[in-house]
Amino acid sequence: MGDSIKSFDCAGKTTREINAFLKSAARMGHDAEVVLQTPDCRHNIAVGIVDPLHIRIEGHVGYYCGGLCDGVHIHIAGDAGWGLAENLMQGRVTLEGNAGAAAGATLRGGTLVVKGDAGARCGVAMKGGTLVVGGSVGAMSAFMMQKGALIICGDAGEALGDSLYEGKIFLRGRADSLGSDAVLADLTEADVVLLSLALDEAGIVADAAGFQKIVSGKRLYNYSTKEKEIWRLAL
Amino acid sequence: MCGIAGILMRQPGRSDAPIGATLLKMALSLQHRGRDSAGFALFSGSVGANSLRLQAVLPEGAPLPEPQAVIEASAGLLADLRPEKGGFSAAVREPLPEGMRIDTLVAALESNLPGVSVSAVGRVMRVYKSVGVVDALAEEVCGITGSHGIAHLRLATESRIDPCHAQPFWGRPFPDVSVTHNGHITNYYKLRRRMQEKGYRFASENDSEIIGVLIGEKLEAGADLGGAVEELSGELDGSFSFIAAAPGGIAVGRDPIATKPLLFVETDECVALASEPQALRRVVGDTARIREIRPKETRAWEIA
Repeated sequence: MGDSIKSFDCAGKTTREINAFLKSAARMGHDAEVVLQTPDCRHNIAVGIVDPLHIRIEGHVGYYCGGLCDGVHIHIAGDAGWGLAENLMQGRVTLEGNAGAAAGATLRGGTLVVKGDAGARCGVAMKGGTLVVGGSVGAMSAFMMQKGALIICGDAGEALGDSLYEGKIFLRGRADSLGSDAVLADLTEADVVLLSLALDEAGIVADAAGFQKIVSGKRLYNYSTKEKEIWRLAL
Repeated sequence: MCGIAGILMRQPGRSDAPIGATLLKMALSLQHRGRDSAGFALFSGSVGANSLRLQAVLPEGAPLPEPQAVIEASAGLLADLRPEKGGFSAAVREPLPEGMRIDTLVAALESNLPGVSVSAVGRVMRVYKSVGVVDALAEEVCGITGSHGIAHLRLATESRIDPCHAQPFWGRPFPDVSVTHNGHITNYYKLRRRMQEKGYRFASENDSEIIGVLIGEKLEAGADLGGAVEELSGELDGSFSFIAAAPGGIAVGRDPIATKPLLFVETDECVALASEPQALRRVVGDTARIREIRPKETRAWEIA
């Protein structure tokens, strides 16, 4: 369509009006970037957009930004609250600052990049996609992860990867502790390729070979009376 | 959810900062976190210089008691009665008669004047509460200056919605102690029973009230505010992010799972805390680094 950049000042607008504007631009196949100004840490911005759209948000956002989206590209020049890009299906969300709790919760596909730190329960119940954190993550990150890759360039809080089913966690720093049934595994060549590509795309300079890999020990898949202690911890 | 906020000025001698207006600004930006009631606890002046004052709230719409009735109900221990939004305040005549304590005076007042609930006693702390949105308190607090304070926006999930159940809660019967809390204290009844067995009386049936009472007890036993909060955090069960305030400063505690948010920012001028970042951005601008109180973490800041 060759559209020009559209700007939208969020000041004085309801969240419903902001999202209606974005959905309308996406539905009409707006090619150029849409710029949101004065987000003022507001919750639920750019939620539920299921047609491709490039969005640049100039400032800090609140909870659930970019949630329930499919095929969007969102760049946020600030911090984000809880539940950033929750359940993203496809597309890419990049946050320049720090994220609150549960960033990338139930991520299904696409890529979420948090250049700063992410709070507790980052990547909780991930079901696919790639989540790259340039800084550190909080406690219980990747809790009950089922698929996808969580890449942590800094440190992790307590119980990293607790009760994860599948998926891979890559950690460059140290974890306060690993969660129940989260175990260290050898980094394969395929892992190094995946890491190099993801870090490169995220604009993060880090040696892919310097990461530890954490996966499921799969001992929680079936109940065993010999593993009562693990179950006691898991439940 | 609920919204909580706090501010403490860090510059020496800065006890005349516009903390009422600042906290009001923060609270307004957190309004969506709770519209059932709102409140502030503001600290002005120094403990040694100020006389003891009692504040009381009434059920919504209830008429103010006659001054003479208040004086009689307190056996003449209250004077200088002034109406306040939703209730009244009065000076406590000191020294109290031998053997009489603040809680005895409070109990006498509340039993002699049904409906009256003492919301605070303090030399430097004043508590302002109202049901509904925070706008209702704007006029009351916007001109108040001081060194630090806390605020609360309530979304009621249990216990009644009335001024008596609004926060911040006074740590009764300890003067100048208050708490603003977001979460649920799941061992509340156990802790409350334990305190009742020691003779403590509660103003409400709200779980948050226990926090201030326990902190007050620890302060009286000689702990500093940071130490009291650290010790208490291990005794509380449930989800909590809270800010406690006493004449010397403020302190925060957060539960191990960190299910309730609490952010803070430190500058040369102040420390500000809030459930959500926009409340902090209203005070320190867009570029300051906002951090999170970590799971299980406690922190304390003293006034300069």
